[in-house]
Amino acid sequence: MSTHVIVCDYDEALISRLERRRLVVRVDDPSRLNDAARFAQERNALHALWLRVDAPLSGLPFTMLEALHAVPLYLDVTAVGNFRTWRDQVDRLRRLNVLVMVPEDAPVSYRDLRILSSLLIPCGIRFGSPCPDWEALTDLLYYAAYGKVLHAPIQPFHFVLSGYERHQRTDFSGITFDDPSRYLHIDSRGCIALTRKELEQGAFIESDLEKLDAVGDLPAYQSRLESWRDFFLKQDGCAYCPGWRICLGAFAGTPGNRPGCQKFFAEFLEAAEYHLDLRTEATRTILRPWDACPA
Amino acid sequence: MANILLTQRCVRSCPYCFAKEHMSRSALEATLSWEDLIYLADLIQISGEHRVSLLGGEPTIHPEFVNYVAYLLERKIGITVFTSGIVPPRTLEDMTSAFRQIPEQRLSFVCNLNDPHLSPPTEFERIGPFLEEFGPRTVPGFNIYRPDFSLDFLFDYINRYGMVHQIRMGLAHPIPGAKNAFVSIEDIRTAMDRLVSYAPSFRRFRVVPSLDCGFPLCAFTDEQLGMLYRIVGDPIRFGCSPAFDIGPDMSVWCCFPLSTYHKKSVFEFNSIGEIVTFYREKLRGLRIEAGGLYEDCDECTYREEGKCAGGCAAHLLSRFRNEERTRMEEIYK
Amino acid sequence: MATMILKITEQCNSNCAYCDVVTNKPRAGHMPLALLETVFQRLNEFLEADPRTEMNVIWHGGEPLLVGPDYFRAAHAFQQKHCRGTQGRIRHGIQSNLTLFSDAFAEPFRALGIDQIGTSFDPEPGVRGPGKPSNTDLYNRNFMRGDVTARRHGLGAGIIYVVTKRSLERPLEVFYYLTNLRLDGGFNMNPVLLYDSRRDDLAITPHEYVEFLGALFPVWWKHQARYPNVDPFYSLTSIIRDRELRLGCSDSGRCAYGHVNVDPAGETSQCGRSSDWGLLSYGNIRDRSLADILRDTQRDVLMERNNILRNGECGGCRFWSICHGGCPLDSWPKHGDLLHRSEWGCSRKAFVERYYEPITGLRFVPHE
Repeated sequence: MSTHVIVCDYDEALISRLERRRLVVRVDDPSRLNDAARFAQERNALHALWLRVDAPLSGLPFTMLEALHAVPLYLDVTAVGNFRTWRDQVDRLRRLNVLVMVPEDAPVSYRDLRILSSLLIPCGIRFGSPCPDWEALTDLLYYAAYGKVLHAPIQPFHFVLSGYERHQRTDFSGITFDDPSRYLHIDSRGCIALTRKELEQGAFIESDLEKLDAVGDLPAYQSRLESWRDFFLKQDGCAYCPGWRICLGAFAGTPGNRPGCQKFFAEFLEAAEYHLDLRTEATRTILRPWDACPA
Repeated sequence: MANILLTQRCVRSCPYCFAKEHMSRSALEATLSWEDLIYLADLIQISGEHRVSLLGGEPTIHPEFVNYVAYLLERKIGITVFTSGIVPPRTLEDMTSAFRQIPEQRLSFVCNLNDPHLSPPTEFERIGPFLEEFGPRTVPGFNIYRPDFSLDFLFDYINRYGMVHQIRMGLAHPIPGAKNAFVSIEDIRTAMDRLVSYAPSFRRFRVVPSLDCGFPLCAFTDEQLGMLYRIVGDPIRFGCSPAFDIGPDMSVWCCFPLSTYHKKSVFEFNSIGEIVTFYREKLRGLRIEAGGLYEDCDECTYREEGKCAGGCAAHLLSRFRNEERTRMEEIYK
Repeated sequence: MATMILKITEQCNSNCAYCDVVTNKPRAGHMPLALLETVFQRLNEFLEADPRTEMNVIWHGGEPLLVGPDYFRAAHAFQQKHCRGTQGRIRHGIQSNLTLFSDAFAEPFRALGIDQIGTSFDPEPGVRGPGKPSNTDLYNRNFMRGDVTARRHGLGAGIIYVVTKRSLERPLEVFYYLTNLRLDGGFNMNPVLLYDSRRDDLAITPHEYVEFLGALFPVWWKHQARYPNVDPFYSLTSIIRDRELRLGCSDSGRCAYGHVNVDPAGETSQCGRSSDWGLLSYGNIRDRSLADILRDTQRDVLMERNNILRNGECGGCRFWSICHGGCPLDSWPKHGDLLHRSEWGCSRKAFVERYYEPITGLRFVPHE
């Protein structure tokens, strides 16, 4: 059986066809969250519930969320909203297994992410614009990477900082379930796509759900996994950037993007190296001769 | 404890204003951003501090005032807000709903009140709504900037609004480079006589005066000190140490009267302790040049024993900067 | 250990701008299987005669994969047949542009014990690729495909990047490109070796090569852990800091009696370059044993060169022990003999003195 996590909308007929698989179930209506969780957990391992709403965090029915304390909740919202309107929910949010995602192209998001993180609520940036605000992103990176006070992870920084290895590519697209080596997206008809965007555009890699377990063998799938090499076929572009190993060209193709993008990812790489050193230091065995002494 | 300015704008124009010189040099529209507030909250926490003062201008006119206070409280940081009490109605409404349940130890106010007879007629009408709501967690503050001041109205306010039975007394000092009203060195003793003359009222209304920084010990007679002790109960401090203020642009300075003296950026320090140490050293530099307000200060045993700082250092700096430039270079930075 | 460069073909599917095989000689066909069998017989004779020695066989070309996977299966069969007692002392490697590598090569390569493919690659347009002008795009696409396939089969592929005039325009970008392509390291930056004016648009001077390396070295030195096995920096660091002597054929001063090149017709020479240039021919492998070829008296000049240089042009040079005057063949185009030092060898000295020592604070101390 394919080891992929399957991402699909809350569609009981579809989920019934995906028995015993790990699922990310997407819901647009908060009032359906509990039903979705219950149904998906009956015959599947629920990897996460993905709530996507055009509303701020402050507008969510928090009491309803509380019943989902055991379920990883991916809250895809437009902003966090006025702090005083949700400050009473801070403790509740901390108790949940939650990741609050806000859009990068909303200027308040940079503020919101700091607020969430500093209050120990895991959060992240959902990139949409091909040319983010690199300066604001760099400031946020510094906060996420070098902040001296305990704070909650900010994605995708945390993913890279905690998982970076020097001699491997680091792909943070999984934060938004868009890493085909880990996630496959399926629509209500059972058509399979490699990313959510491709699913919405109808760009499917396979239209027969029965062939789900064979997707990994499809040339198009293999080709996608190796598509990082395409950057090396261009005479000028992301492959020439020091930060490529942790961005993999995520912001390629936008005119004028490069100086800011390159500077940001170079800083990001330095931060990743710093954290790698910290991790290495933490796991290093310290010689403690006194431990060997008999009492 | 750090003083954080949320905004430089103020709703009043007090003749003694300590912040006048600082405000005149800074962008009025500057307000503290969320990012910087969070940075400061982190700095406070890594410094092992648990309380902060929020100042202005008038801090409540910052559009995020209520959110900022709520946020700092959520970060387990206690807050004292220094306000004129003239709070925008909508903000007051939000404050009421957001802070009513917060224990007074975690959120308190100091409301700086001016003599109604010397203030615009509508000022006290505008303060009333704030005191109606938050009086019981508010300490009245009063700044002495002339020797013939009156405190009678304060006892009236304390009773009317159930304010904390304490008056935070400030002594207006000269701001080097600015023209503010303050009590001259020659008039300080007269002003203190006036203060002690209110001893019967303090006793009658069970109100405790607390002296802010910069009062010289020798401005009081032994008899006056004895009377004050009977009212206050605790040893009275005659200190002058860095309170340090942080501006909305993250600049930091020793205190408002010394806002032109070695202004730095918060980002140059790693902890509150570092800031305090830095300005303590700078104050020490001033004191090396002159012990205190009076010539006797240099020889004063009370100063040597740390019982009196020798009055506000702003007097010294003001004097040094008005005389020929012969002192240590540090003085002029 | 002796080294045999086994050029099984001089044909190539690429038209690289600086290739001597392409520019100097008409291309020969593939080595006939009968001759290949003879090569293995010669190998066996040689190894049987000296049980302590080993032979490093580098499959070379042209492009050696042009011969197809069955050719390598045949080679393995010849080895099984003729080298039953000595095959444990034969190490196989291959130098290929990878553009033709496919799954079909994996099995015979495994049988021969090949686990590394030496390859070369650079992204600059017009330098590599089939046709005239070179179709770089096609070449690079095929290279990537071959690289993916090789890696899938667990075959490492270290890259030689040839520094040309085009590289000088953006040294750091080139460096990042190569380090991104090889995150686990394994590439070497060699200067393009052009001895005439045909490709002035690509040729560089030793000084330019040093400056190119100098532009990269501070970045590499600061991030050695991030960029492992990048040569010449890594090797130099092994030599200078770790005191490990890692020298290639051009620096070791020991190529005289240890190297042999066998071309598709069985003609032998000192090495690939000497063969391409028609120098140091030692006869056909059909007619002579490997032992005789490796003892050919023409080789004596290469040994004598060490003495001549040490007492002459290289006298007193503190880098002698890691350079030995460089590749003798570099002397030929300028002097018509092999007895002068290589100016490319001197570029190593220049790099160490101008960049390596000042940046690292380490000083090269000659090895005993």
